[in-house]
Amino acid sequence: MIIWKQQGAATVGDLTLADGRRANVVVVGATSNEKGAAIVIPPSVSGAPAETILLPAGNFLLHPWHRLEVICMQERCFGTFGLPRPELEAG
Amino acid sequence: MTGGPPYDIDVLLDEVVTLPSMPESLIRITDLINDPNSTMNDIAQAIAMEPSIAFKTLRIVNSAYYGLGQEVKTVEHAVVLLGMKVIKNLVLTATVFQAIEGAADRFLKHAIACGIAMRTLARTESARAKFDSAEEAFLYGLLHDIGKVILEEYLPDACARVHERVRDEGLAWHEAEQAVIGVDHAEVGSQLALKWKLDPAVADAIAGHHDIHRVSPEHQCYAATLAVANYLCGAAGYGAYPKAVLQMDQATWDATGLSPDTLDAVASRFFSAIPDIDDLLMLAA
Repeated sequence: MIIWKQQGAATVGDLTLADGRRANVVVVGATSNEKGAAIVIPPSVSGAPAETILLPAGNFLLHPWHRLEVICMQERCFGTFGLPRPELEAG
Repeated sequence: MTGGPPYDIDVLLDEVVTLPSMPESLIRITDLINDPNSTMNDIAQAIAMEPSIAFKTLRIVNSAYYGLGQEVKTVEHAVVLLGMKVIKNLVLTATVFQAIEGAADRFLKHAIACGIAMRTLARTESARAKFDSAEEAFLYGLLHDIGKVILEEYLPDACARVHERVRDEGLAWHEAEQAVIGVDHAEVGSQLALKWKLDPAVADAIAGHHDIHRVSPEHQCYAATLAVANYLCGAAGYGAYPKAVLQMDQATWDATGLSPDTLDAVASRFFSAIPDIDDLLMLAA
């Protein structure tokens, strides 16, 4: 399960990738927007930049059930199907 | 006295809970459907003899969820149009709607959403062969939490404590049930499915929807598909309770046989069916 928080206009999730690394997924737009979500992987070496990978290019890094969760969060925040809006704490 | 949870499933069913019997009307209709000598007319007449079931069946058939594009006014017409297998699942659905009538709105929405998610998943290439029909898959979802209704009826104080532990300790609902009662809704719901003589795959799917290893390997794919449907509903905002704890592991995912390449299409089809939730809710409320 992804732990979601609201950070300004972005919805940010904390998760473990399929390869075991911790990362954030940042949701800023609908699934139809190719820049609507990205995975941000913290640097493994201090001082190095974080790695940012747009979905769907980074989908392979996610567990499939996390991918479903990201799609749902994009739809709930930015979609048009009328899903319930998430009630998230500010991060 | 150890202070641990008080029940196991046998003690619970012997001493506390009386599982509701399958309604006589449904037994009669199911027997007719399973009888190779009965005609569609016999079945239609048997359904028509039960006005509330006939009424609900026709409302489901004519709902936007079903999308037939033509009004079906009689049970005879529905039987001819849809065939016996579909009608059997529809009658069962109508019966379940009666059984959960009056349950909390959130519970009903979750049950219906899970039915729709199951129907969506059952139409994927990997799952299509496992289910007789999308209607059958819908029933798995509709029934999966029915054990909660039974536990709530017989053990309301214990269920209130379950709610507190979910809220205060962040436990998943079934984990809190096991801690407080000793038995969870999946076990109770599965026992009801067995008592109603539903397909053993339905009973096992219900039993294993929080832990597929509870059930035989041949039925783990059904339990796993139900677990994914449950997860999808929670992620989409139709969880069984606010801030529902979502759980999934690789073994459960693998047991579904679902390809990650299908996820966008599955989610999109599920979202498209969201208006059906309110449509079907009117049948159950």
